[in-house]
Amino acid sequence: MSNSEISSALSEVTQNTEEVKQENHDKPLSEELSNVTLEEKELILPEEANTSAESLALLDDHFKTPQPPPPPDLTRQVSEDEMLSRQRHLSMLIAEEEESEYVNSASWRDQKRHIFILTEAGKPVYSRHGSEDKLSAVMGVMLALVSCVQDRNDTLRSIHAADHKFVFLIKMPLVLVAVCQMPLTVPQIMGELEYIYNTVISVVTLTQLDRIFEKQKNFDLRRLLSGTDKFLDHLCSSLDSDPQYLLRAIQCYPIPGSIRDVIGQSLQQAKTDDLAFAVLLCSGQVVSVCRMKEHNLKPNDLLILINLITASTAFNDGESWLPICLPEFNPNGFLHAHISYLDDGRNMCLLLLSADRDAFFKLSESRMKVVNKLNRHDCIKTLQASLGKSTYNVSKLGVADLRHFIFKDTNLSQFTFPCFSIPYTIEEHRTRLFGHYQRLRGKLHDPHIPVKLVYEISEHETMLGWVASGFELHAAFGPLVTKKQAIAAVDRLLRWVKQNDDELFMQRPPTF
Amino acid sequence: MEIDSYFIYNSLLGPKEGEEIKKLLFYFPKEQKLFRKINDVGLCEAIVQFSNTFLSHGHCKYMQTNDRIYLFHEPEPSFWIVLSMRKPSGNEFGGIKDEALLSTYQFILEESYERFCLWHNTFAALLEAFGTAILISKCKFFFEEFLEQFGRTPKLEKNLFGGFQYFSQDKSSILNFRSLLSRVQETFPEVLSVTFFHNGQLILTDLSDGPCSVLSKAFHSQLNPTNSSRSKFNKKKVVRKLKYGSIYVHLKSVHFPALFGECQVCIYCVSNFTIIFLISCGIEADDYFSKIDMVVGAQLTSLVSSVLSITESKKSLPELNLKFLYSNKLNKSLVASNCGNLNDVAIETLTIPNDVLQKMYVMHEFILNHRKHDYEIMEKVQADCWLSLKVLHGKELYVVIHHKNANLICVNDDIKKLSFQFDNISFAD
Repeated sequence: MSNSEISSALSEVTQNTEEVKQENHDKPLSEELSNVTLEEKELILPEEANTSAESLALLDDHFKTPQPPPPPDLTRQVSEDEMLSRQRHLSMLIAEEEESEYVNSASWRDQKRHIFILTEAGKPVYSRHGSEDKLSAVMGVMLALVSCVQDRNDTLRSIHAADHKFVFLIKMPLVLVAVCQMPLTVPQIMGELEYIYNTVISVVTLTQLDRIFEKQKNFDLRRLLSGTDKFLDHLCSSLDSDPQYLLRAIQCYPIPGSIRDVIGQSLQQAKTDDLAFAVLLCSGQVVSVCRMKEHNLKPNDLLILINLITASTAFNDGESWLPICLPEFNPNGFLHAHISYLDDGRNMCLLLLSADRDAFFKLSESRMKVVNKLNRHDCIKTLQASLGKSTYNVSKLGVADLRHFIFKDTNLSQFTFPCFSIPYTIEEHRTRLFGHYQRLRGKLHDPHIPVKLVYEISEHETMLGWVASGFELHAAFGPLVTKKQAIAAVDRLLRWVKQNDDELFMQRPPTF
Repeated sequence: MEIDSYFIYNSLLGPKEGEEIKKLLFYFPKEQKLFRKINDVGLCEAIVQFSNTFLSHGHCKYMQTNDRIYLFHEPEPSFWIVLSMRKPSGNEFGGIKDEALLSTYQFILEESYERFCLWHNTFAALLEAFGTAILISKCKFFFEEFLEQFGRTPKLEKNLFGGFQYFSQDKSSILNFRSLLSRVQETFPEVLSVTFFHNGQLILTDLSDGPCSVLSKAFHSQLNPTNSSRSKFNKKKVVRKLKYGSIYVHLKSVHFPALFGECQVCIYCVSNFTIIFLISCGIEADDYFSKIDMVVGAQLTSLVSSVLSITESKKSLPELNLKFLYSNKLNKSLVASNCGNLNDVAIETLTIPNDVLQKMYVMHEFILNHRKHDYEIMEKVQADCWLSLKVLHGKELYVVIHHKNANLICVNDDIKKLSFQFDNISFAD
């Protein structure tokens, strides 16, 4: 099959998977789905077994440790003439860039965070702000800079100018660039670019990406990623305000531990031969995750799933079937996600992830089993009743002087934080607080000189960041709090978390 | 880290393709291949222009690659100085360590230009007056020697406070020197500026920090009488002996483009005091310095005893079980925990672990960059090492405490005790 055939067909698959679901209620779902899976068989994983008997072997393949992709050829010697000609080309591109429409627009330029994705051939793939088509000149310059530095057998990492940081993540055949005006360190911004890269991989898989670009260097990846922009946009917005990405951990939906256990047992009912994970989300937060014994669903993968669900309304109706790659689990292959909401309000979302691409109906039955068990124990009603009451106010703790906090259980990779109360109901103050959290975490996890505790008094807040064994705490107090008061408040906070840990965290994740 | 290259270019020169070499005014090391020189300039021009795309103010400061750091400085419009440092292999990038080193290397860049200007004038003025060839030869003459001083592996700059140290004084001493300064300004209108040093430490100046730092570094060897080069200087190079003091540097031409333009420097010493005068061009009268000597020399001789008593009182500060550095920009004082030897109040004498020292640099940079007036931070850097910084209206107190199993409150109590020693009750919690 030729490259163009592959790409156009793949593009159809990705475009249609969302539309496929229940868009045409007249057509039987099975017919639609069989079309999709047939194409996937041929195009995505042609060499893999497709009989249900072989699905276990397929699952084993998924669980194998992924092999890292071959590194870009940085040792290639470039001739002096070639270097000079690239240099001149770069100067020419810079001149073109200055005439670009967006570059001369202050509203585009002054965005706090730009994200660009381009291919090794300089083809634009994604831009957070503005149409990537109109930014091809800017992206051309980015690629030219990367290659000019590579000509010296070196790799461009970051440029620092005024209050901007330009960070480059080179994952051939892709180059990701962040232009950031935030109090983040370069390793933190690199981490954010990794999230974005993983989201791209979740749509195409690493093997597929390498294979396509091996054959056709100037392939336009947008054809494969069409429809993915909204997920990337949502992810980029979340980076600015969602602590899940900052902390590399997940926030659990707070419910009593006993109910969470029953929900976990209900998820176990979904068990089939090739079911890898079952996840129940409520209001975009994890209620419970059930997994195969030997395999973990890492926070980074879970965040991809959460972003997928929260960014789109495409899964709102009926049951959806979507191939998705979880890069930490296995960057080289797809899992197949059965996605459905369990309530009319579209709050409770059940995800069943299987290695078998033909398992839709099997998983549909599993879903019924889960729903039956949940209903038997009134779990859905309980969750519905808890909606809107699930977040707590910091005043609930009864700790004077404490304005806000984030507590992360490092063993569980889960965290909890109260809703934003006065003064953080105003966006300006909330943004400042999040900036403090970003900066504090940058200090605590500096790759060279990590710090165990930071206590910082500034005009608006007193911040405390503390990394201890088993947890990480970030707390905000009023600017006039004394250290004694702050320490006493932290003691009380830790006691409160300990008392409520069963409700705040998923302590006993079930397995199949 | 070692210096990989250091070069100066003007992006307006040699605009045509094939003429790129004309942009280059200086390149170190000179043995580097021509194509690489041109390539370096082209890459840096592109980096600067690209970053400008996203900037509404400011300009590119530095670029990091896996192996190198490129630092940029644009001292005059379109004139760029770039310093590229090669990292030791296997060194990761992006942490606080790099930021601390960067401030040091940025300092090398800025200082190299300021020193060049002091002796030769600005790039633009030289280009306009003499043309490119002379500018290139002056750059070659100056920067090759300058870079030789640093060597290929410059050490971390040890002084946080702009390269010169303040002499800590009491109120009456400050008033005495202020009145002397006013008297000089009134009596000798040709004197553009006066800077007083005692044993190499700054007492008082009417210059701002930048020019004062440039002057004190350019004439470093003449400022401290205990310095060996000064002793050598003493014997051989006293230009003129006067009634009270002596002149060591007589009317040497220097440039302060933004302040006075071209002027003359004169270094005059009495006892352990060194005074740098900046004087308008055209003063040559022999009796001019005799008159200055009569006013300044006589007054300084009478101040010797009061200054000595201040130095003695500092020695009596009690020994503390912590290391601290206190700077008050209002009364120009700098005190460190090893105050017995104030001649070398450099952080290196505090024997602070390198990691903690680098954190101090980052904190200092943060204060400078964010113009923080009221700020306090405490960090537990290693298992038993705490670093604290308090900032209050121009006063900065850094404290390093090694205290096993100490918590925030214990450490704070120690710092509080120390704060009271500086009569800074407002520093206390």
